[in-house]
Amino acid sequence: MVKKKRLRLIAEMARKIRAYRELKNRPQDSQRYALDYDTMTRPFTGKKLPVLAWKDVQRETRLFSLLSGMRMFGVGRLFTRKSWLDEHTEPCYWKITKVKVDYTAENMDHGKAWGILTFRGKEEPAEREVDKVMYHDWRLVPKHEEEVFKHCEPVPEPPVRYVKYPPLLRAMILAQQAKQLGVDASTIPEPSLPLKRDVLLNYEYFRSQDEKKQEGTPV
Amino acid sequence: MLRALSRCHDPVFRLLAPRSTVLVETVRGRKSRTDPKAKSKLGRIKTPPPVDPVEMVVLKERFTEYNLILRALRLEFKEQVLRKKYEDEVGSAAEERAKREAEEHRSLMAWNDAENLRLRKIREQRVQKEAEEAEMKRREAVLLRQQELENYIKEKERQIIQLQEEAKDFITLDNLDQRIEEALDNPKNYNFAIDKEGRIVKRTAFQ
Repeated sequence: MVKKKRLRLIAEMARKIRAYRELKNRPQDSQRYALDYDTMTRPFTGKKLPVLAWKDVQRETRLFSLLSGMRMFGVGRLFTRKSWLDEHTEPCYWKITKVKVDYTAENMDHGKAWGILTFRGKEEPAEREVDKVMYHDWRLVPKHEEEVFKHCEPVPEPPVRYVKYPPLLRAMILAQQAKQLGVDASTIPEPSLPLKRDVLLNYEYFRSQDEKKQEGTPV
Repeated sequence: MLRALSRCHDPVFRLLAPRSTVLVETVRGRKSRTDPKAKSKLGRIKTPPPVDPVEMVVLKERFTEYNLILRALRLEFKEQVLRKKYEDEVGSAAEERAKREAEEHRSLMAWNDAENLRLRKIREQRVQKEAEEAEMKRREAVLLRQQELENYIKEKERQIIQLQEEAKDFITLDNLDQRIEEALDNPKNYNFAIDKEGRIVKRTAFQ
């Protein structure tokens, strides 16, 4: 049998105290996300920002840099991100509902925010914590432009595209169907692959397929 | 207008597909993640390789197309596999197979029972025979023992009688004088001579 484990109570206590101290002395947001704009390093970790982000960091602002200068910290206002503006034509924005500012920040420049996201014209039902608050990417939507910005014509989803199968697979499928039907391969219509299928493959699906096959064509 | 411009001339690299199709996974060589960066790398600024926007657009299109097709194919194959599994478990052939297997099982069990019965009969007979033999042996052994006991008793009785016979010739206090006289009167000569041929000579040079 294994030798009896020694009860190291003091070590256990030390571990608990260390965990508690770590919890109590967590670095604040303002400390973690502070940035030296001359050398592009974070003083907390000493790490440098990637080169491709330097231009954005110098030009754009963080969300809380904008919020700190607004009434009520911008609750109820709309904010977009420059990357969304570049990527998507539909409007994507956060509507801020709750703000928790980091009190240790000098200019109240950091914190957490919650809001409702509208991504590519589709609004989410629930409030969520705003992601990537510390990114130098945010832009405020002025009040007089809000309606224009929000307005979007819902582009109907393009119909499902059908594509030809790869040649070997196509030959295999034709041969199999020919063997099954007992007919020459050239008479079978060309099989096409739908690029998008919303189907959940479970027993219910297969059972319904079986029933449909049994039914055959309705009279 | 501005937006379109910004999309053409300032592509956001982190959102587009990697240029090289070979995915090289980062491998930590000598250092673990907690080791600090070397002092020679203090002022190092890592610039990623430059990207040709036209090529990137083309590649992105091709990649999206490729991924769509692959995903559709994967779904097809997955459906086939699951369908096969479904057929195996709840299909039309599955019930017949189950029935056939049950039949086979029943027949095999019946055969097994018959075998067991037959072997049991053989075993019982054998056991019976062995029991009888053992019984016989036991009886014989008992007889033998009885016999030996009787022989022993007889032997002992014979010895007793022989002893009794010999006791008649014993020297007692009454015969003592008589026997002494007899012994002195008849001296016995135990000496003899023998030669190499084995001839015994009883007459010796003695009184």
